[in-house]
Amino acid sequence: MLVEIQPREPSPVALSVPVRRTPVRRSAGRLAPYLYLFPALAGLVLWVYRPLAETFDYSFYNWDLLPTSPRLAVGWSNYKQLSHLPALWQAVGTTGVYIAGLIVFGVGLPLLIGVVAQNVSPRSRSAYRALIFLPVLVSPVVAATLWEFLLAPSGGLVDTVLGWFGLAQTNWLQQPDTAKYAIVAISGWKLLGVSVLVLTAGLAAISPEYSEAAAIDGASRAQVFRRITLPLLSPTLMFMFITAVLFSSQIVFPLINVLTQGGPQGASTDVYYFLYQYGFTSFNVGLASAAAVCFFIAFGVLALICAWLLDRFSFYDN
Amino acid sequence: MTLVLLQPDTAAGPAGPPVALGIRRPPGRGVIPGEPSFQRRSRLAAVTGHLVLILLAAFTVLPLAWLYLTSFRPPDDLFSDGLISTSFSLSNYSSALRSIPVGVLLEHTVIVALAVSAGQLITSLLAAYAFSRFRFRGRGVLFGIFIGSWLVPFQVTMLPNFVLLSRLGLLNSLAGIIIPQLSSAFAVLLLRQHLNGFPRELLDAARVEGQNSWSTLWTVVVPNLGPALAALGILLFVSSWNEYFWPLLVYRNISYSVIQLGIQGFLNAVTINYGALMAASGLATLPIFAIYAVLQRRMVGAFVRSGLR
Repeated sequence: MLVEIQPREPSPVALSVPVRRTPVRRSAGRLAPYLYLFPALAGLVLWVYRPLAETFDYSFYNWDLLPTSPRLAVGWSNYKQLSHLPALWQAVGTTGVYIAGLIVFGVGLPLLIGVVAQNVSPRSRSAYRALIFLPVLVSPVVAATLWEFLLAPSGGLVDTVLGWFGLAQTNWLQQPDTAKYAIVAISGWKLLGVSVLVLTAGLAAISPEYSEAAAIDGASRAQVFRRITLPLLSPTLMFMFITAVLFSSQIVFPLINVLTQGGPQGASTDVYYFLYQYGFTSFNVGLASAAAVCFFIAFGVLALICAWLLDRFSFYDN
Repeated sequence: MTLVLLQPDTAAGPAGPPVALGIRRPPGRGVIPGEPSFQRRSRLAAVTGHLVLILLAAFTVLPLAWLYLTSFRPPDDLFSDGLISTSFSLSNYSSALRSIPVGVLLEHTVIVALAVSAGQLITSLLAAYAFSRFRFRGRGVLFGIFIGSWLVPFQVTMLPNFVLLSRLGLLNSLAGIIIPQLSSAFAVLLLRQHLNGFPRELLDAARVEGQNSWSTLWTVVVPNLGPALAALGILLFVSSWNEYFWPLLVYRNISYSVIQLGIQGFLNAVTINYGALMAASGLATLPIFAIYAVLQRRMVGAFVRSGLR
């Protein structure tokens, strides 16, 4: 719904009225929307679209980020070199693990919470929700340092608690097979509150009349959930699924940088951390930019697929 | 923090504001009064519900409680087996204050968060006003530019942005943190939705009185959009307060930058002083928790409508 205020054409009545707009005023009126847009648009062009174009440009050069050193045009060789790096494919696999893990924390667990929360009184439900929301407010750095302390190999809270159940001590962040799962769990801890909030909002938007009618007709709770709640919730679930897929790399990025720096042995490096390391640790600007271009296109295609999925598999209550 | 715009009509019901209210609606369970079997079953379900939710709330809250409990422990007692320490000490706080210039860092963080959130609020308000009030050539394309920017990840643009900042001589300065963040596509989209639902009669009345669009914006739109602007402003403030990665690229000397970098500095030490680290982390998070305690309902409502994470 759009609020339309500007009159399109001067009405015939207006023409007969002696008051006339001066040409200057009229051109200012036509320029007005562009003037209002200018500050925000300038920011986007300067800090998003210009660097995006420059990243494409950099990917065809060899350069070490020093202003004084020369840039060498090398054609497609950065891309060729990139495709032969085993570390790249390891990073792609790790990215897959992160995405899958965040689907669990960003869609699966909130759905479970949303369903069991329906059996609890609204007052205690909002109290739980307020508590589950708290980690959302914590900065990535604080979350990372806190969990580093909790996961500390000797005497950390996690190992102490696991010790009560006779489980062996683990150096969670320093072992290749556990580091990435620790990062998934920490991101999930931070993410859960928002996902629960979005899901409860989706549930609340479903009119209770449907399930009441079904219950009167003798439908069981499982049937009501399967046949009524789930289809009506599908747009919300699809939305949460898409954000988990597209933004997982953004969410884990600071945690990787603070906790593991991509290690041990590159086990927790995802695609964007990979490109960060090439850009700011090895100062190989060309290769980092080629990687950036590839990941940008890959995630763009993924976004298109997701948009198609959202359209195709959502059931709307009209 | 990543910003995600949740379209109200796809995920949260037909309109924005009723969502937050809708949560308080009693669950649609079809409880029929005087039907004992159904009630017994729902009591069992309520107990299970409480158990699951208590476990999850413990998973989310205990680590934060542990942060503050640890910060008040004596430094030599951090890793002792007893979960609750009997002695109370402030020495972690004094050693945190000695290790990093907490005061300076917090002051810088306040400046950055205020400047960024105010800047984003103003540029977004103007842009959203243009989109919802005017119909003009290129409107669709320009709107697409705003939506599209939101699909460009930070990591793809960071190298060229770093190069530009160094050419402008803005590295190692607060301006270098603030300036690249002054426009927010997310805030534009969110405010546009609010403005599209703005009562048309008020705008018409202003036009009949002969007000131009600029004075209408400040005398009619802004005063009536107060709660929405406040909620968005808080969100932008919190996310800017917590921002870590861009300051990390801008500052080489992290001990005089913003608080998030100061905290990270503790981890670079040979032996990590966890007590001081927890004290500093607690201090850095306290302002945000304080805002949340006061404005919990409004913030949650804003998060629901935005899907901010």
